[in-house]
Amino acid sequence: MRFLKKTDWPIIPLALGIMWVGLTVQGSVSGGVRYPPSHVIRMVVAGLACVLCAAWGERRWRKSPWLVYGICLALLVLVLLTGRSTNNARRWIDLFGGFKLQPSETMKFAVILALAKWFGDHPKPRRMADLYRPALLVAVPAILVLLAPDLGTALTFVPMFLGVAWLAGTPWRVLRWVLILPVLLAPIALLFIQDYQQERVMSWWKQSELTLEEKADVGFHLWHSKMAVGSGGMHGFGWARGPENRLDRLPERHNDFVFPVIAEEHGFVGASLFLLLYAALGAAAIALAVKHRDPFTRLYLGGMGLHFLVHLILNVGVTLGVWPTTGLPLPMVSFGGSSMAMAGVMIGVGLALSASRGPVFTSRAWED
Amino acid sequence: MLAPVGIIFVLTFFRLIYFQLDQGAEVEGRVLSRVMYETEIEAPRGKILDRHGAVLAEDRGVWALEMDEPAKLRRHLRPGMERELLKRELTLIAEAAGVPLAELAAVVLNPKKTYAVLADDLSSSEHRRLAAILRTMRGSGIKMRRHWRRVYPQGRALAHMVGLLVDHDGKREGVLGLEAMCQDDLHGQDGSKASLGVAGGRGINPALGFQAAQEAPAVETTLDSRIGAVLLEQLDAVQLEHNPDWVAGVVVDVRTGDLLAIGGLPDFNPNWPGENTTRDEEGHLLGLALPAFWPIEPGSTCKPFIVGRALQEGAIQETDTFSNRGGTWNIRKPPIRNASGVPDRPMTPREVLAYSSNIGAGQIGLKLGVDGVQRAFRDFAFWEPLGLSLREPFPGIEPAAKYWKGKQGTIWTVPSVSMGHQLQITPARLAYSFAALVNGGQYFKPRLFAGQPIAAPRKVLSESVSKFLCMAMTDVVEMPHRVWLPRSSGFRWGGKSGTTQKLHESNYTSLFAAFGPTENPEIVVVIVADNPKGKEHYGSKVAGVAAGNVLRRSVELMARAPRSVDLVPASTGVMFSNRKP
Repeated sequence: MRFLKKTDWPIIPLALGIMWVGLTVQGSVSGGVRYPPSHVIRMVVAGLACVLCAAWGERRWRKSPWLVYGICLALLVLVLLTGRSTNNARRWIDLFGGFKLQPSETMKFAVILALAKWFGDHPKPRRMADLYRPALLVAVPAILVLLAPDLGTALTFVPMFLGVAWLAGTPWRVLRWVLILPVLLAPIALLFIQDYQQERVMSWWKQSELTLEEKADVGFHLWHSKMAVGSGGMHGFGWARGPENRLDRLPERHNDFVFPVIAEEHGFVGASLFLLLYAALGAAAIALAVKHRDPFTRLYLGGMGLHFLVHLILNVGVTLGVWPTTGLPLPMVSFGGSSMAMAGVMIGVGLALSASRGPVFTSRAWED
Repeated sequence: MLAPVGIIFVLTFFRLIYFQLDQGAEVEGRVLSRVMYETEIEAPRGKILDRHGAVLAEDRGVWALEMDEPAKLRRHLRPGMERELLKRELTLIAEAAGVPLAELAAVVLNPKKTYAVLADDLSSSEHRRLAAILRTMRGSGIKMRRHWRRVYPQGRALAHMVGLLVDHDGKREGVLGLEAMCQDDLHGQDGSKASLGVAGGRGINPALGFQAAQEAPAVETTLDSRIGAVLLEQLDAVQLEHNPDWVAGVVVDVRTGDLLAIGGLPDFNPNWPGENTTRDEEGHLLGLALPAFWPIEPGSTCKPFIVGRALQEGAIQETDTFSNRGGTWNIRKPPIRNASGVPDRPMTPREVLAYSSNIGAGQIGLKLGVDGVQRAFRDFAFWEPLGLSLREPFPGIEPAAKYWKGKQGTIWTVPSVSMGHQLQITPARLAYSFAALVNGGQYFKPRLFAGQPIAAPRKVLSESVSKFLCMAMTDVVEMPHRVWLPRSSGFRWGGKSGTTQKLHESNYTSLFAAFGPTENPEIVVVIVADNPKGKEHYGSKVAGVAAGNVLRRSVELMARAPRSVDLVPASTGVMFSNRKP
């Protein structure tokens, strides 16, 4: 209880609420199973990871970012060399007992930790040159993830870097170039991505004019996702009764396209409540971050909040046709065990760091 | 920095509002119209049971493998797929369904085909295997569909009476026998379900509506599958030995009027109709019509009716004798002659029947008179329809009124009809009328359904006359020279043979009406063979043996407690599966 009083406990009920939504959705996707055993196991593992990481102690975490970063980077290299190939992608390392590890998920945590450490040790970057080294911390794993290939995960590193740099006090005049540059380079990047990725971008661009063949082929995911979301209406079809879900018409609905299932079965009411719940977790993490005096804790919590917000915006945006289709799980809701476990680790570390806080800033102090 | 994140979040939220609240109703309608199916669930047809509860016809659920998606919309088994992968998927399905790979590929990869039945009547193991394979190929457009298959476990036995089904625009309709007669009674209550398609294979969504199909109650008949099998066995034997154009048999319970068995050859197997049949010049399937409902001249089997009636009305006495007039009775030209072997001496009515004297029967007919003969035929219901089939064309053909008048009646018609010429009745009708001769003189209306009450019989003969006829017809069987008729110790039976030469075709119809046991008759069997092409054409030789065999075994079976398993001998080709061996 002492630990809970000291730490940023509001994160815990929000995270538990999201995990409960994830459990119900996975049950629906599994054909109407109340407690799908595999997902329950993943939730227990995430919970244990959270508790262990929280118990590990703030001091140890403070000392270990580079070690964690190094290990995760090594795992990324290892997966490219020896990882199991599924759907033409090498993203998983087989572990004992049928478990698999997705190093790109662990890398997200490692990057947040490393960025928090770097900007904590080098506060208030004033020039573009001050961002080169931390940018390298993000670029190396992003390139390795791109080689997997996993464009969606690689793209999440960019907003996380921007967010942490901004929280670290980087002035807008510097940051705007970092923000504009990817936008300007995006059309050129299109030339270098793989054919199926180009087709997805094109089908997204003309999503309202897809032909029957395109809806059955390159636009299949997006088309059925929009049909699922749209058909939910105000109240939805009810748990495990969504047509697109129950008829297997919505691909990857247990993983990257989990949100359309929520929207289809629980309608606008359920979907918007879920979005607000998820956004509340990110916002709470950021709001708590800005009150911390300690830069490492502040930046880590901010990075974590941004991590959840970025995943929410990208994942849900993809399913609604805001972004081109790319594979990105929704942490704590999607099927992936690595994503779930790392969410537990992230929150556990966040709780460990926030439990050791000294006097917090007032908003006025932050402005100073 | 938080502002752009917030703006994007709000934009995403508005996108959600647009989809769900603005476009929601339209998209929902579109989704449901594409995936929601109001499907009629066909109720299984009711069973048809014999008198012991053995199944004559029943519906069994079978699985069909169907393709129901255009090639361009499929995710698997698409013509444009990688060749090796496509071949592997096709091979898996072909092997599991037991269809040739090349034929499967030709149908599945044909871009113009959107629907095809790839395999039917799949066994449960084939179904399980295919279901497992199809689960790994979601979006292949291939699915399993369960439907009802009518199965006739008795095969050819009683096939004409049980009937068969044909498919009319997807609806199964009975076209013969009980299947046609009881079409409405056998059709259960169809159900319906509103389902979200079948691709997911996850069954029914009760929220969308479900009405279970209900099987119709079974139709319980008076038929006996065991006797039906025996009859078929004996008809086959007649066919094999005497090669008639057709052969028919009827077995009746004389105590109730219950129809126990009826059949004929050529026949068909209702499990795969269309085989074992021949067609006439117009392409009609000959095997589907039951010759037991075709009219024939009864020949000498008519004599007991005349003798019995004459005794009943006192026109003759048991001790009266009738001259055989040297074997030729010149009452008209051409004269009436006896068959060879009939002794040329005065005969009592009993001997007239035993030796089947045409001249004696003609004289007795004249004693009975025109009115008496006509009354006799009416009382024995010769011209009444049986009501056993929708396809009973007519009950019989009576000589026209003008043939009964004056000299025409006394010289031609009465002597002729007394020996079974110049009139026609069906074998089934003959069996029922014959039953009234031997059961104490009571005419029972035909009874086919177990629940149908037994109508009060019509008295047509006295007990004593009936007994007299039984003894006289037992003499027919027990005469020393008729060694070919089957006899067994402890079982006495009787009967009357008939042989008629057809006027224009100069061939014969051979028939035999048998009853037994003599002391207390239970069963009547009539066997008719048309145009036998073997060495023999006399009724007792062509049909008598089969009639005797069927009779004896029927009496034994009726006395024995029914068994549910080994009712049907294997030799009748009984099947318990409708798959071809």
